[in-house]
Amino acid sequence: MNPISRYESKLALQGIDQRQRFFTLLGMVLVLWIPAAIVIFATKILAISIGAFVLTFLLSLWVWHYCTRYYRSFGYALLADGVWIESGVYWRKAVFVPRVRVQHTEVNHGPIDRKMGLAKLSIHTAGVHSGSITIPGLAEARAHELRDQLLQRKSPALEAAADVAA
Amino acid sequence: MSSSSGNNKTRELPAQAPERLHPLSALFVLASQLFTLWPFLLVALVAGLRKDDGWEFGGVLVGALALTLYSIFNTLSMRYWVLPDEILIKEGLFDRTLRHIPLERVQNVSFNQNVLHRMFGVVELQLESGAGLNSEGKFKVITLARAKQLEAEIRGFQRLQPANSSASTESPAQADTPSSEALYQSSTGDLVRLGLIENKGMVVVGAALYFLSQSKLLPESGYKQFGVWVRSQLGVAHGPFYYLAVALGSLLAILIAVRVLSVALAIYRFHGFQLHEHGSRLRVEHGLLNRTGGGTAKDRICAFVMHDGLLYRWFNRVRVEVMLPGQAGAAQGEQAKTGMRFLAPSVTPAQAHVLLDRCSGINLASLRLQPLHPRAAYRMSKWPVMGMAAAGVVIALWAYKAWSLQWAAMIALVTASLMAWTLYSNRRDAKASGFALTDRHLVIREGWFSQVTYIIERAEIQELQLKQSPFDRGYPMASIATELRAGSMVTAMPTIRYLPAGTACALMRVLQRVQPT
Repeated sequence: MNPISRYESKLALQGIDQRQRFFTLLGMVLVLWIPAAIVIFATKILAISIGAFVLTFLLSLWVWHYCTRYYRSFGYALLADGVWIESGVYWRKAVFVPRVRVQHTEVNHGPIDRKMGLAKLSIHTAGVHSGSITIPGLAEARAHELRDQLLQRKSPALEAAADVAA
Repeated sequence: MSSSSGNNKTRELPAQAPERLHPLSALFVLASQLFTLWPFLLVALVAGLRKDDGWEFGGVLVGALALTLYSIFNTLSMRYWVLPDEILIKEGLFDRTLRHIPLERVQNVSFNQNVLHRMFGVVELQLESGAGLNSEGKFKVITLARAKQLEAEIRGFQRLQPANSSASTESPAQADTPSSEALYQSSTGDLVRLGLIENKGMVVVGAALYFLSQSKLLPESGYKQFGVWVRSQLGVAHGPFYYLAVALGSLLAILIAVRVLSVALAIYRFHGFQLHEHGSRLRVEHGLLNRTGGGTAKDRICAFVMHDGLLYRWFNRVRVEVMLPGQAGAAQGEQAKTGMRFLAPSVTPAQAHVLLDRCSGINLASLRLQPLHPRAAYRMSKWPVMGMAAAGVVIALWAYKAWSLQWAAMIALVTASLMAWTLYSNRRDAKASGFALTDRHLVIREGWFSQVTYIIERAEIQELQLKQSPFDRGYPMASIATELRAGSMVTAMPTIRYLPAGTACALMRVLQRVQPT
C-alpha cells in the first residue's frame, strides 16, 4: 500500500474488508474460466486445450494478484471538511469530497454483500464528470456510521453560513 | 423561500386571463420543421424516386404533413400566466401539461432571434430552471417588447428575494442598481483577428469533405480522375523532396483559403458582440444575422476559461469563456444556443484582465504562478520522443529497403524535426504552465503553443482528485483535477499536471478548507 498522501502528511487511512476478493473469484469464474472451459472441452486439438488452460491459469494468477493489491490499496479517511478516498494499483487516485458538496448518499448491499455483512457507500456530488464515488467492502454498521458522520455537516464554514442566515 | 404555498399550486387555473404566444408562432414552427424534418424527406424523395414505390413515399409525406400541422396547433395552444411569484404554462393538444416555474428558480433567460424573427420584431424566449438539459419554459415566439418585460419581471422578483438558494451573495448596493453598463463591445478588427486565430473554417471544410465522401454526390471515378490529373501534373521522375515541396505548397494555399472562410464565420457568429452588466448579472448578445444571447448571475459562474496561445499572442488577443452549471447539454451542441458561453470572444489581454477583475475580483496581471516540477519538461518529452525515434528508425529502414536512400533520409528528417518540435514545445509548455491560489480562486495555466487558463471559484469545486500514474512515480510527481458543476462529459476537468508530489499534497490540504458559497 502506497498512499499518495505519504508525500506530505500521512493520513490515517482505513482499509476495507478484504473479503471483497470473493467478487474477484466470482468474476474470474464467470468471465475467464467458463469461456475457457468451453474452448478447452470443445476443441479436438490437444495443443489448443493445453494452451488455453495454461493461458487462463496464468491470467487468473495475475488477476488475483492485481485484485488483491487493488482492494488493499483502497483506503478512506474522514477529515474535518470532507472525506478522502484513495485507490489504485498502478494509476493511483485520491478523491476528496468536501462535506458541503455531498448531494446525497446511498448505502447499497447486494445478496453476496449481505451474506458477508458488508455494504457499499456511494457519495454523490453535483460534478459533471464522475458525480459519485463508492467505498466498497464496509461493514454494514460502519457504512451507516460513516454516512451519518459525513452528513453531520459540522464544518465550521457551514456553521458560519448558518449564522449569517440566522 | 418558496412563498408559493400549497394553495397556490392547485390544479385550478388562475382567474386572470391567460396570455398567448404571438400568432406568427405558426410560421416559426413551420420554418423549424422545414429545416429539421423536411431535408430528410427530400433525401427520401430523391432516393425513393429511383425505385418504383411512390405510394410508400406518399404515405410518408402525409405523415410528415400531419406531424407539421400537429406541432403548429400544439404550439399555438400554449397559454401562460405571469403570476406574482411564478409562471404557469399550459400546453398540449392531446398530451396536456401544466407547468409551474417559480420565478426564483429561473436560472437562465435566453433568447434567440434569427433574420425572420427580426423582420417581425419577435423573439424565441427560453426559461431554464433545472439542469439545463432541456428548457422548462419555451416561448416560441413572443414579441420582443414582451420578452424584455418578462425578463425584467423575473429579475425584479429575484432581486427582492435575498436568500435565494442559488444566488445568495448579491449585495443590496448592487441589487439596487438595475441600470445596465456595457463592459465590452467587439469591433470588426477583433473578429477578423479571432477568425484568423481560431480557424473554425477548417472544421467546416473537414465536415463538408466528409459528407461529400459519404454521399454519392461525387462519382467514385471523380476521385480517381483527380488522382490521375495530380500525377500527370507532377510527373513521376521527381524525388521525394519535390513531393514534399508540392505538398507543403498546396497545404499553404488551402490554409489561406480556409482562414478567409474562418474570418467570415467569426464575423457571422460574433458580429456586434456586447457584454452588459446589470447589477449582479451579466448579459451577452451577438450574431450578424442570427442574434443570440443569454445571461447569468455573476455568482453562478463556476470558472472563467481564458484561451491564449502562440497565434493569440501574435494577434495580441485572448478569448474568455465562462463555465456555467446546467450546460451539460453542451455535449449535444446545445450550449451555443442557450445561455451564455462567452465573456468576450476576442479581447486584448489587458482588456481581459480588467473584465475578469470586474466580474470575479481577480487581478490576473499581478498574479505569480507557482512552477511545475523542475523535471516536468523531461517527463512530458521522454516517452513520446523515444516512441517517435523508434518509429522513425523502423519506417526509415523499411523505406530504405523498399524504395531508396532518399526516401529514408526524408523520413528521418521529418521524424527529427517532429522530435525537435516536441522537445522544444514541451520545454516551453513546462515553463508557461503553473498554478496560483488566492483566497477565492484557483488559477491553473497550461500550455504554451495553445494555452488555457482556468480561473476557478474555489467555492464551486465539487470534488478534488489527486492522481499519480506509474510514469509520475519516479520523480515523484502528481496531478490535481478539479470537478465542477459546469462543463460536460466530453471536456476535460481543469487539471494541474506534473506538480511535485509534495506540493500537490500540500495544495490538496489547502484546498480542502472549503469556504461557504
